[in-house]
Amino acid sequence: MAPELKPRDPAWEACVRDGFARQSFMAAIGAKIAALSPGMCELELPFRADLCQQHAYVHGGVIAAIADTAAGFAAATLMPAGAGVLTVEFKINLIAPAEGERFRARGETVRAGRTLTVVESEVSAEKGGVWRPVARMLATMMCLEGKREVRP
Amino acid sequence: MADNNRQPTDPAWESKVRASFARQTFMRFIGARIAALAPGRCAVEVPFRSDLCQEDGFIHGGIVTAIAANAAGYAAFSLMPASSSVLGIEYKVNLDEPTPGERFVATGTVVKAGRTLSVVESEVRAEADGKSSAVAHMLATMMCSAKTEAGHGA
Repeated sequence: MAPELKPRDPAWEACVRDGFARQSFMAAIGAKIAALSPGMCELELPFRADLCQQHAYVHGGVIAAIADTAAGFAAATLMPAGAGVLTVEFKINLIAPAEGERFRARGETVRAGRTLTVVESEVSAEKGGVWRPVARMLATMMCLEGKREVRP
Repeated sequence: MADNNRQPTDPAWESKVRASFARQTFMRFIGARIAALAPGRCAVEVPFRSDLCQEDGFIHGGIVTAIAANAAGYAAFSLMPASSSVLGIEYKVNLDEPTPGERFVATGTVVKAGRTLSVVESEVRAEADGKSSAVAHMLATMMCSAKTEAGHGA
């Protein structure tokens, strides 16, 4: 493991899982954490007919949402205790229609800085047992120290 | 800036856009609707809902992004010829700080309408108590596909 991917918070895993569990939108669409390690977070989403765009593929907004959320929690695995994570910006290419029975978004930390973290996220679709990439994102995440408990 | 002289090439542009939006089950799921529509311009609005949030109870960035991209897509689609469909190719979005709001309105404005590719700017604003503040800015590329919407098998 690269030295920069060493978690700073010994309780990183519980914190990330708790943060994910508090995202009502991820629960609403049926997304779950499929894999988690320092610097990496993978989400899985089964196809649902109520998450589609006009051609009955999964909506690009849903694909971007799971890519962004995987990227955010990939970054969060390396942040200090009590920190919150915020998406600052991202660029996404939707490279194929999101057609399949289930989707995986895998966020991998490229660089974990003290304030800003750069994360790559790839979304793949499984159709008939074959996984194909459907989207690729590059995102910038911000670490907000001591702001975890801020609520509206 | 908004170009008020955009001429739609499809006389049925408005019904085409509204019918396509109505087929998006995800927009129905989140409670979004078209708030304004003109050639080259589309506004999509979503009311705040507690099941569309991130971990601190603010609206999820994925929702903000989804309505921004959707407004951008339909702004572009309004200028596309009959018997075509619109595909989102790529976009870049900047998300400001999480902002509370009663509703979120994304407005997409076509910057350049090409034969194959259109460039669209989209801004999302949070509205509450008569006040409005920007929460996200997007620049998106939309593609015009010669396939009709029916041709996608939807």
